[in-house]
Amino acid sequence: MTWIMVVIRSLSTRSIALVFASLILLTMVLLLDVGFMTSLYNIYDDLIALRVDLHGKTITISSYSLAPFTSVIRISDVEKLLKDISNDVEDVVYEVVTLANINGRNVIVRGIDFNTLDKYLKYNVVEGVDFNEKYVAHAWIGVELARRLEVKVGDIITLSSFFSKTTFTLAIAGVINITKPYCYELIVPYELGLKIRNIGRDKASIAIVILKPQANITRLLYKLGVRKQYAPLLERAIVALKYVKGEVRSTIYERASELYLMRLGIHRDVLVITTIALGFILSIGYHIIGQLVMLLNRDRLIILHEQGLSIMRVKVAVIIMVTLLMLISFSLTQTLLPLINELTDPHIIGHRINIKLETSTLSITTMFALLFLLTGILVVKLYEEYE
Amino acid sequence: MMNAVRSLMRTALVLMLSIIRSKALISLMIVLLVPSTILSIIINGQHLIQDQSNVLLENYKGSPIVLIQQEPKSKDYLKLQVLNVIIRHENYSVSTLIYLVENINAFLKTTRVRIIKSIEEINGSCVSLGIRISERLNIPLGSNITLYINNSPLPVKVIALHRGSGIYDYIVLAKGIVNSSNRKYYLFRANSSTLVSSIINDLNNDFSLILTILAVPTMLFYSIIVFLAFLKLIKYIEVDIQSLVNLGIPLSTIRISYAVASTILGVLFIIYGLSLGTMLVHLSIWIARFYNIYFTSRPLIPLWEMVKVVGVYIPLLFTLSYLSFKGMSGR
Repeated sequence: MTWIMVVIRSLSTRSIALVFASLILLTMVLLLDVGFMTSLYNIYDDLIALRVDLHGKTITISSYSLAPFTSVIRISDVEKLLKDISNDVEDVVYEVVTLANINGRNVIVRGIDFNTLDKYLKYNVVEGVDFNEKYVAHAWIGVELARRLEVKVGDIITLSSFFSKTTFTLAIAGVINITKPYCYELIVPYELGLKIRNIGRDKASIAIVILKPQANITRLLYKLGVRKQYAPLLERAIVALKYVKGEVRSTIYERASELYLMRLGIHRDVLVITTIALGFILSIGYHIIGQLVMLLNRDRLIILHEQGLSIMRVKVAVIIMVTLLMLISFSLTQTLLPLINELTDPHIIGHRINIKLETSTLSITTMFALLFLLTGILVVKLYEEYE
Repeated sequence: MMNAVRSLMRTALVLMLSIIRSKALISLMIVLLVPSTILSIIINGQHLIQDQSNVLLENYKGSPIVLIQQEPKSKDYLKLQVLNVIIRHENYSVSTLIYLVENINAFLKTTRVRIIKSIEEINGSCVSLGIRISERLNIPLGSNITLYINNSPLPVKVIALHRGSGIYDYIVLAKGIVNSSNRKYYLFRANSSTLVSSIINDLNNDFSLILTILAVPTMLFYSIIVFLAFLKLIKYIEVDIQSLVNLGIPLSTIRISYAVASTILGVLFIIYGLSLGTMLVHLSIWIARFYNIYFTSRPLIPLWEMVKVVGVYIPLLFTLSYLSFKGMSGR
């Protein structure tokens, strides 16, 4: 295997540095763009399904709407749906999620029953008072949102909701350090949330069904209408209630984004294909890098060949070297991405977009990059003159 | 001077023909098409979102809403002060807000808040409690309560109870209480399209920022691949460059000519990429019809934005090609 080292040592340091720098920058563009696409697609899951990690097994119930903040479900329908499986249910948490505007900035307002909040979420009060029912015209604000809106305890905010015909003036009672997505939101008592959303007391936006530890989610999903063979595949589930001619029908989705985008008529596959296509197009740059590493070291590699090393061995050694550099650049870029995320600080409706790369997307983009890099190296003919 | 320019342009023309004939032209084209097409899709996407929002707002028939803001956006407004208040009655207390209004009847008319019970006329100084507070603290009409505004106690008599939509059931409404706070709020009726446009504009701003975050690094980071493509190009036309050197043309002239030739060709590919991106957006809009998603607008990149993109790319391409030549001639 000494021939590998011989080839690698023969490559010029300048060309390796240039190739490595190019690999890092190109990988950065590739992962940034693909990561953003994936994160934008998953924004709804961040809005409503993240708490699954905190609670353990949960099922979220929404209506078949365009977004969680336009969803309205009847509490009686949820109770009816869960009637047969009540032995497996630990608790049902109802939330009102709505979109509001504070001085031209959109925010998500969440109405929560403070008892359930205290029971299921970890938080600490940074400033002001803890959740308290004595504060009737008040809101608690997540640290991230407080920073963005530059508000502090005691400030009075004017909040206009698309669903209500009047402005709500609310005083900030506390700034809280709380888990995502709440840290990007304004939290109000459940009753006030209903007023802002302008719906009756028998309704909610979403219901989070917390299951008992011993509950069999596969059996539950089967009871809720998922085909038996698919039930074990769903680690988390979102049940959409469709109101058709007075009847309630439930449909199960694996992701919140899948449900809400389906409502728009966009199937998840469309976005997956778009992301893959973007990854493919951007990966073309790797082909140029592959070609350049050969062209810049062409004379040195020809000498090695003339000394008796086969062209195949020369190319294999270069491939090993460049593949290693590519893998290092992928790891390095993945470490740098959160930093770029921090610097650019992208937000949508107050919620921070965290660039995320799913394993499947990462595997596909790595495969494209490798494919183009290898073809770039292989297409360069060392012995043929350029025309 | 003129001769030098003429010589430079001739050399640039020769090199341009040489580049066009070389196999590396395709690589250069692809490398420039990728970022410019993505950039074009992003710019067109921004315009599409903006156009669709405008269409939505133009067709939106909003109903009147009541707004409270710190700036009056209507000639017909009511001034009020909104303050934190603690209501204490017997051993119970709640924290809420108090609205200090100058013209209580006008306030009631504008907000459609109703006085459901009162013990006297509410024209003069008065305090009215929201029905929810009255129920929660069990405060009957005519009770004496203590209001704590800025920690100062103020004994008052409840002379009315009111009910309304929104927050009004939870607040205290008062007239005649003097407060030193200079912070004024303005209450006025407006069309709900004001609110809808504010929501949509903020959403557009968020999307535009995200798209800019995507566009700028794509354009800048991909430059290194453009640099590599220029290096490759030199490798492919090095025989022609050698011939020019043999003809006695100084290397510095060839270097600048190469940069000029590559920049001219590069700009053509950038324009081609921008057009390709526009075509892809239009194709996507057409495909969206099959998913029952209809877009009424057909975005086109405005001329000034096209000039802006090309304007950024000209110095970038010139520098990259110049540096690539310098790097190669150094070898």
